Amino acid sequence: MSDLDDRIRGALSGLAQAPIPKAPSIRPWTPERRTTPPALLAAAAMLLLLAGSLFFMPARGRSPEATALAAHINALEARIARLEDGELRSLMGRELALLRRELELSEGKN
Amino acid sequence: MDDLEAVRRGDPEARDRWVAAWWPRVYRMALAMCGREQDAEDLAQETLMAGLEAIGRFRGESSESTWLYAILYRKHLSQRRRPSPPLRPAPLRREPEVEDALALLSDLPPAQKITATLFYVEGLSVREIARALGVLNPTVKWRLFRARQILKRKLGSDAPRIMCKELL
Repeated sequence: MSDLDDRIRGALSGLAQAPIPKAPSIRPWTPERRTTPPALLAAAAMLLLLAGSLFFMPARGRSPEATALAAHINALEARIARLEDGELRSLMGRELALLRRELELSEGKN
Repeated sequence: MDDLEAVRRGDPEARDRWVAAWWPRVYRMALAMCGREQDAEDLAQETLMAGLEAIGRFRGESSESTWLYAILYRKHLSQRRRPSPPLRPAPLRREPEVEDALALLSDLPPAQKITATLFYVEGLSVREIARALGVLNPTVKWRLFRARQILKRKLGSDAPRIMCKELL
């Protein structure tokens, strides 16, 4: 240790003479038990109610036009299946499938 | 500290004994860091409270004092970032030796202040300080070097008083 170190140590030793206040009584912090706010409960109840009503709501029926169109498509499908030419049968089948898809999409929109 | 296990279990008497046992050292270190008695009291309380909350995670890889000083240093830095509290009544008149020691440390930045205090007052080695502060040994040596330079200048200007004290 250098002379400077000794001098610093000597000067700082004065800290040991600082009066020490009484030790406080320290209790570790414990989180308060949180209660669920009523607004949160109300929101959860509303969500449950909405989910339940959606679950039990009857599915919307098809319109008469859509039912007729679907029957027509089914009839066409049966006739196409009877076609002898394989290439034509597959071509018509694809067209019909597209038509059926369009019908489903238009039902979804309405 | 024999009470450590009991403190961990949450025994209130052991906890009080633990706080009472560490209070003087932690308070003195806090005073060295803050320079004001009331701030030091707040810092020492915060440190011991944080220590009690974290004592379950203390694995004994370092000494308890080193661990507590590391908490104190972090608390001190976060205390400095907070807006200053309203002015408090002036502290009671200090002993000249305490005043000298605090005046000597007052110009050091926090990192050098804690390094110098741990080294010169607590007698910790460079390695122990590095561990407590989470820095490398060369960083501690550099901080001590810088602190020595500042303290040397201050001691030079205070030389007559310091010399008189040394002669006693």
